[in-house]
This record gives sequence, C-alpha cells and structure tokens, in this order.
Amino acid sequence: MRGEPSQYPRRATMSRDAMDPGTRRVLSRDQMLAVGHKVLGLLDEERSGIVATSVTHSARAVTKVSDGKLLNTVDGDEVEIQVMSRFGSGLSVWISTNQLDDTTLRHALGKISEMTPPATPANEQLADDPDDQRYYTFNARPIPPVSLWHDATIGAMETARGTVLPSMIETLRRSNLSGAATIGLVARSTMHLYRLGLTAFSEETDSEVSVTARLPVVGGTGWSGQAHRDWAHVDPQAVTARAVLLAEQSRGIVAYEPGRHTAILGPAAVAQLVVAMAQLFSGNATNSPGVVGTPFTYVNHDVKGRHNRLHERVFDPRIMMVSDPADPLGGFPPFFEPGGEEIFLFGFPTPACTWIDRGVLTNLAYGASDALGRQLSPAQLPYSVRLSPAPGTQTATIEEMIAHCDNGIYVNRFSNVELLDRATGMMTGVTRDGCFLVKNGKIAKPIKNFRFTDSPWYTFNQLEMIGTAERVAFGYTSTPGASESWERRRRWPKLPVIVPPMMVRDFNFSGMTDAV
Amino acid sequence: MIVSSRRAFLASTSMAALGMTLGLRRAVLALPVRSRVPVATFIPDLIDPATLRALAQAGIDAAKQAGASYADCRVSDWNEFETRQGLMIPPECALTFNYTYGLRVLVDGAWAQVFGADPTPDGIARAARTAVTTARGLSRIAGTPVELVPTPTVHGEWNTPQAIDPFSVSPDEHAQLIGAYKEASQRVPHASTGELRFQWGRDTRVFASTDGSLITQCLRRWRPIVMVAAFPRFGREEFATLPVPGISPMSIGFEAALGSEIQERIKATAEEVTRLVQYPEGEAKLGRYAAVLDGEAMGLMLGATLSPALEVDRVLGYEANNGGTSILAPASEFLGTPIGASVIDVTADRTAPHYGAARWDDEGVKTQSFPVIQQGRLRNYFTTRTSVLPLAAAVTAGSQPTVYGSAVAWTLSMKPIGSASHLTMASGPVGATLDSLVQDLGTGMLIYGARDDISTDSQLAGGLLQPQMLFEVQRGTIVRRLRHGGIQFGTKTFWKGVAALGDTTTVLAAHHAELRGEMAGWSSQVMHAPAALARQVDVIQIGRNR
Repeated sequence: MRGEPSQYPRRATMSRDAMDPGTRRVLSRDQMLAVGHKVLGLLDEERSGIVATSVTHSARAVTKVSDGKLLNTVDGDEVEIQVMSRFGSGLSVWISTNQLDDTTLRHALGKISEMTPPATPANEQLADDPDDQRYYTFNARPIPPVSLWHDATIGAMETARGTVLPSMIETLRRSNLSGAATIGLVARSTMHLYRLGLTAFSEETDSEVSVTARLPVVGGTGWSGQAHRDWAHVDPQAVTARAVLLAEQSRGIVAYEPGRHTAILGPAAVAQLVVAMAQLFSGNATNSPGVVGTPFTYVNHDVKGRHNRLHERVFDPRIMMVSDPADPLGGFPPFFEPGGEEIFLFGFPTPACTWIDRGVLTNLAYGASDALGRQLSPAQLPYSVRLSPAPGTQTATIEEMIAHCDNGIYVNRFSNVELLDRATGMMTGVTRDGCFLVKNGKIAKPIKNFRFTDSPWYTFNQLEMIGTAERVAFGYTSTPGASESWERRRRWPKLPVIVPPMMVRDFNFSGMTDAV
Repeated sequence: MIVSSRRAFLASTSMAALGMTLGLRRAVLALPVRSRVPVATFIPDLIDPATLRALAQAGIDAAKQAGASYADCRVSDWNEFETRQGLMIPPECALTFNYTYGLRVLVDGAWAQVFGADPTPDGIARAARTAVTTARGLSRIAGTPVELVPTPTVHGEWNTPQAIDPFSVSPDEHAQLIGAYKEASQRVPHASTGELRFQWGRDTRVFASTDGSLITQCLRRWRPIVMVAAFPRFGREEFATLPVPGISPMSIGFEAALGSEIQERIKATAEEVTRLVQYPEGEAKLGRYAAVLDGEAMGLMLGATLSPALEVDRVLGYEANNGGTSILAPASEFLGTPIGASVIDVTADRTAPHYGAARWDDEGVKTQSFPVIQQGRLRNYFTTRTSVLPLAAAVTAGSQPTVYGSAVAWTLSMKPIGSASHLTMASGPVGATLDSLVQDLGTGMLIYGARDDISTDSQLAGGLLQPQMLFEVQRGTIVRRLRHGGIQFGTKTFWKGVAALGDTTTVLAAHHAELRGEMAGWSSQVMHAPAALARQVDVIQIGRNR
C-alpha cells in the first residue's frame, strides 16, 4: 500500500527517446535493429545455442459505431520481443516480453542458458541451424522488395474517424436502419534477427471499413466491407450505401428449402472458404504417412506410402491461386512468420508461389528446413493469396451471374466457417447478412440464412462463372471459427485475401438457421 | 497461449510428422534437467505494486485534469511460465512477462480508450490526455450520454489463494511432472497423451478510477491441457481423446497438479478411451435422434451458445458488426422466461478456485456468485456498469438487471465486457451415471466431447458440433462407433429438450477459448457440466471415406 517502504528492487527506467517512433507510430528499421542487437548482445554467446529474436511493434486505431452513435474508440501500441534459444537436442526455450529496459532484459536473457541443456558436440549440425551455409546457397534469393506502407493510412489514424464517421452515421440515420460499423487502421513493423545470419524487416499499414445495417424489426441485415493497405483507396460512403441496399433488399424474408443449389458466392463468401483451405496446402500434412492427409493426398494403397497430387488437375482449369508478397492489391511480408509451416526459422525469405495454375496443383507449402531437405522452394501456407480467373477466362460481374441464373441462391457472405474433415476439406459455416433467391435471372426474394456443409475441393470443380478478384474485408475482429492457427488469428493487420465472386453448381445448403 | 485442446492435439500430430521428416531425436520420457532453481529466478523481479498503483493513479489524474467526467485504468504486471511436450516433439518451455496498461475516459458522453507499450507516468499521462482529446472530438456523434451505474468506492487488495506457488518450483520439477502424466497414460497399451501443456500465470493487476477506487489483486491461474488419447491402429484417423476428470483450468497453485491420485485418474481415463475406440465402426446415418452428451460436450454447448448469448454487448447489438448478436435478445422478451428445460440451473461464480477468480472485476465491482438460469428460466445477463442501464431500460418491471462483477478485460487493450469466466451447471440426482443415462436413452446417440470449436451462427441460434466420439446406442447398449457424423442443433430446441442430467460423477470441465474483438485478445472460460439426455439432435454426415 502507499507509504510502506518498498521491498522491491528499483527497476532501471527505460529511455524512450531513442525508441520513440514519432509520427510513424511504429519503430523504424534502425530502431528495431538497435533493439534486436541489444537483445542478442545480452546473451551468453557460447551457452545460448541457436538464437533468434523477433521484435514486433504494432499500433492500432479502431472505432466502433452502434445504433447510429459512437460506441468506442481505441488507440494504442504494443511491442513484443521474442527470443528463442535452442540447442542440438532440439529442446528450446522461448522468452516473450514487451519490456525494453535493460534491467529486465538482462535479467531474463542472461539466464536463458540455464533453462536449456548443454550444447551438443561441435560437429553436429542441425538441419535448421540458421547459420548453416546450405540455407544461403540453396535458398539464396534476395528478399523481394515489397511496398506495404502508406503514409495516408498513418495520417488517417488521427483524422479518419472525425471525417468519415458523421457521414456514415447520417446515411444510416436517413435510411431508418439501425447500423453498426467499424473503422480499423493498423501499422506494424517486424524484425527477425539471427546472431550471425539473417536479418528480415518489414513495415506495413492496413485499413478496413465494415458496416452492418439492420432492419428495425427483426428480419434482415446487410453487410459490406472494404480493406486496403492505403486508406486513400477506401470509400466508407460506398461501403455504407451497399450495406443499406442489402438490408433494404432483405425486407420480407421467407424460408427456402435447403439442399444442393446453384450458388452465386460473393467475394466475402469465397474468402472465408479460401482462408479455411490454407492449412491444407501443407506439404508435410499432405505427404506424411500415418496422418490423415489432405485433399491433395493421393491414396492409392501404394506400399511405399501416400503420394500427393502435385501436377494433377484439382480444380476447374479457370482457377489460379498465387501468393505474391508484391501483389498490388495486398502483398505481405516476404518471409516466414509464426503460424505457418515454419516453426523456428522465422524471417527466412519466401518467394512468390503459384499454388494452382489453371486448376493444376503446382506447389505445396514447406518450411525453410524441410524445403532444404527436399530440394524444394520454401513457401508459407497461403493465408495471403489471390484466387483469380486464369488469363483468357471470360469473367462476369455478380449482376451478370444473377442474369444467367435460372434457379439459385446469391450469398453475400459466410461466417463461422470451420474445417470439419482434413482429408476431404469438408467445411461448415453459415450464410450471413444477405441471402437471396434468384429465379429466371433476377433476385426474387430474400431468404433465411442457411448452414452449408461442403468442400471447396468439390465446389471449385463445379464452377459455372467467375468474376474479377478483389481484396476482401473480414471485419476488424478475429474471423470466428476460421481454421487458422492462433498466431494467424491474433495477427494485426490481417493478411490480404483477394478473391472473385463465383457461380457454382450443386452447393450444399445443408440446413436452415434461425439467425437473422 | 492456449487454444482449443483438439486443435492442439491435431497440431501436435502434424508436428509429429514434421519431427519424423526432420529426423529429430525421439522425445524421451525422462526429461533432461533444465534447472533446479525456482522459475521465479528467471523472471525479472516483480514490479512493486506501489509502482503499479502510482501509474494507474497518474493516468486517471491526467484524464481528470484534461476534462474527463470519468476515467478508469488497469495496470498489469503479467508473468507466465509454460511447459509443453508434444507426442514426439521435444519438450519446450516458455516465459512471458508483460507490463501493460489500459485506460478509458468518458468525455461529453463519448468513450475513448488507450493502451500502450510505455508504462511510465509520463507515458500514461500523455495517453490519457490524447484519449480525452479524441473523445471530446467525437462527442458530437456519441448520441445518448453514457451513464455508469453507481458502485461503492473500494480500496482493497486480494490474492488468489494457493498452497504452492508454481513460480517457486523449478523448471525441472515442472518438466518431471509432465513426464509423469505422460507415463501414467502410457501404462495402458495403445494410449498416450497428445500435447501436454501447463501454463501458470501470475497477474498483479491494479484498478483505479476517478470514483476513488484503488484495487490491487494478484490473480493466479493454471491452464493445463491434458488429453488422453487412444490409437487403436497407428496411422488411422480414428484416434480419440478424453479429458481427465478434475484437470481443468483453475485459479489455484501448483498443489492442484500434484498427487498420485491424479495419475491414477489419467490411467483410468486411458483405459476408458482405449475401451471406447475398440468398438466396431460404421458410418453415421442422417436422422433425428435422442442423445446422451457427456459432461464435456454439455459444457462446450453451454460455452458456445448460452454463455455468449447472455453477453450484453451482443444483446444490445454492439457486436452486430463483429461477433454477432444474440438469440436471447431483446431482454424484455427473455428475462424471466424459460429458455431451457426445467432441470437446467446455471450459476456464474468467480470465487477461488474457479477459473477467473477475483474479488473485484475489471470495473472495480465486487464479484458475486449469481444465478444465470434457474429451473430453465433466464435470471441474469452478463453486464457491466455501462451496459446494465440500457439493459434495465428495456426490461419489464420486476426483472431488473444488475451488476454482479462480470466485467472482464481479457487483455488490457480491450474494454471490459460483461462475460462469464466460470459457469457451473447443476448436476442431477445421485445414481444418474453416464451408464444409467445411456440405458434410459434406449435407442439414440452417445456423444463425447467435440473435436473442434462448435460452429454456431452469428445470432447463436444454432450450430454444428463435431463429436470427439459418436456412438450408436440400441436398447441401452453401445453397439458401434460412428464416423463422419456431425450434430446439428437449434439452440432453443436443444436446451428446452434436455430431459435429464447426470449426477456428480458425470461432471466434466470444458474450456472454451476464442479470440475477441478488434484487439484480438483471448477470452477464456471454463464450464463445469454434467452429462445430459437430450430429446432431439440431428445427425448429418460431415465427411466420407476416400
């Protein structure tokens, strides 16, 4: 309590001047290097084994609106320093902290070697030793330059909510709908640093606006969202207007019989399937005997074990799937991050990767060390990916898909998608915020939400029409039920997913829900 | 951070394959010595609680001086030690220590919140002033002024009771204990544990408000993952896991993990799951059935449906653009009415050793045990000082919502929301064992646990559960284990259709964790529930053989 003499040692105060990011909001490359080198310098070099340190600094400004008024606005920044120390036996110790002061770091890091067993004999090399020169020859490629930072987004952290929120709220008010909205702006810088080798740095910004408009009496909702790394490309008014339109179109909802129907899936629906698919591109999960496999596992009762379906057609030939760190609509840090196939060597470069080329499986995801062993290129799981029509494919807008549909269901969005069966890619989820019956080329009526149970490995082979890919907003919240690793789900900003609308045959709407 | 148990197990299985590919050495049961000094030696010295209090006070003082009508601040010195071992992954340990703050201000009816990585008096004062400026600038779109329900001013301290501080134990002892758990399961052929994980947390958390409250609590928690698995045939997907009765997240000390009795329970669970996976197999058939759900499945159902549906942020529509809304809205329609069968009684409880135990919540309100559902009737929602008044305005007289100390800021970057930390569903009469429920069932389904998160819809009106194990029951006897079966349910239909509950021998803990809100903080809840006989579930097929 106050006034009592302290029994606690005084902690050295931390100098923040050198670590003040200023108007950038997050630490610069030089500032992160300084932190990283300080951390490594505090470790007993001989006794710490393989050491990697990661520093992440993120800043967020998120504002929520509900019922036409401000609900809450949250601003802040978080620093995370992670240090991994590992010896030849493979036993590892992780230290994670948000404290930069010398006293704290010296205390914790100075003792890290006491937590781990003695080093292995000097002549033993691990496959995943980042100082292994084989990495630098076999995986030798420069980290591709990417441009993920936009000053307009940083500026908007101060100004956006004051300028755009009033007009968004006014639009909802004039429509006599209750509305909820979220504006999220994020900046993040990351560095991975190894004692004698790799240094990887990235900085990124991102922004997202999403609106849910609800009819006053329970009966329908409409959702719209937009995401872009550059706030200057976001149009909050257009987002609000579309959500209002979808809600208005949802007046007079009726029930419709579940079953297999032609489905027109909006980009926000396709994106939820694609995110849940990502982990099934794992090379290890696909190839390893004794595990359930993935839909890319070729089970032919071969006595030598399973084979994968590389170089076989797995989807409609009009489909491409590419992860490119330099994608103009999204992009991502061009190196391994936690939560994917790589479990230790974060920061190793990952090139652009084509997963599906005109329907043919061309790559699976492998971590840096595993790729080295297999003489393959390393690649992250496709949590950031562009699914697009193959060159030369005729595309269609959602309106054109509706016009070509005699009998089907238009789905604005899915949510709560869960992967049910890894071997087949079977998933379940629900439609949300806009679901319409299409008859004879027109939207006939709004219908109640459905639960679906289907696999993209079936759905993406029932393709009727495909549109132009666009980046999708998920809403500044975790994607509930999405089958991502926890590291991915807690990552802000979310990694971009760029997908088109698709019209598919025989999509399994397995049941109705009462949710509106 | 803990994730759902089944995800961890699947992760460890694929990690096992990774280990085999890389040629890592096989994990051995006898873990190598790491260190024999206490864990506390490796963690920086605890921050003087007086420093935490001074920091919190600096924040609210700055907010008040800048013009806030109300401000509160939470400061936390958080330490965590984790030991984990996968099926074939070498053991690891992890230390986490974070020093953070979260502060919110109310200015002209508008809320603004800040959190930061600079927990110094100057830093927090700067942040407070920025928050006031932001709130003032947005107040014109704040709508109806926010009111907080009054609460007594508190000056107090509280510590989670414990007999043995886990931070006084050495890493070697932690590792040896995990090894002993694994060995206990492996005394049974074809059984083992999946990923074993112990997480010990110590959170010195200070709350201060412009109302004059100043509270210091040392909150401790244990989050274990101990799942016993049986592998009837290696390489096949029909492995299954069961939780060990009595091992669940708790607010308690190291004493909860000790004792030969625990290891006997692990062995007994290994025997049980091994017995269950030996049943002949068949494919699940579409249809509507009566079913018996084990305690874990019932707890997960509670955590996935009614518990979030009772969070006032969802009820009032604040989460419409995020997690969703609530099937139990509007409150005027549901408070006091039957939402479940008359056998259902659910209590929220934050007394130790229940998970999330605290003397005061994250708004400085004294925590109390309170009825959530009584004889099937909805008695209370999970409220906060902010949300209870809009809720009260919406309900009929005689059923006035109140605050019971259920405001939780899962991380300090999140605002406190009304939420459950621990729920207990009362059990049924003595003698209603799992076997007797199955006999009473006659013909139907027997459901154990869930393989993954239950998939619900945005209103929590229904969902799909993928059982850890699903059995066909005929004439009161298990006849076969069913593959590729999912349980589809409507929330109201399910809870109103609970016909009977098992006795205390059927009670199991379920841990429900999910990422929340725009700050991606983990919420973590524990439900203790008995087995139950439910009149109606729908079985659908969710996979197929290749």
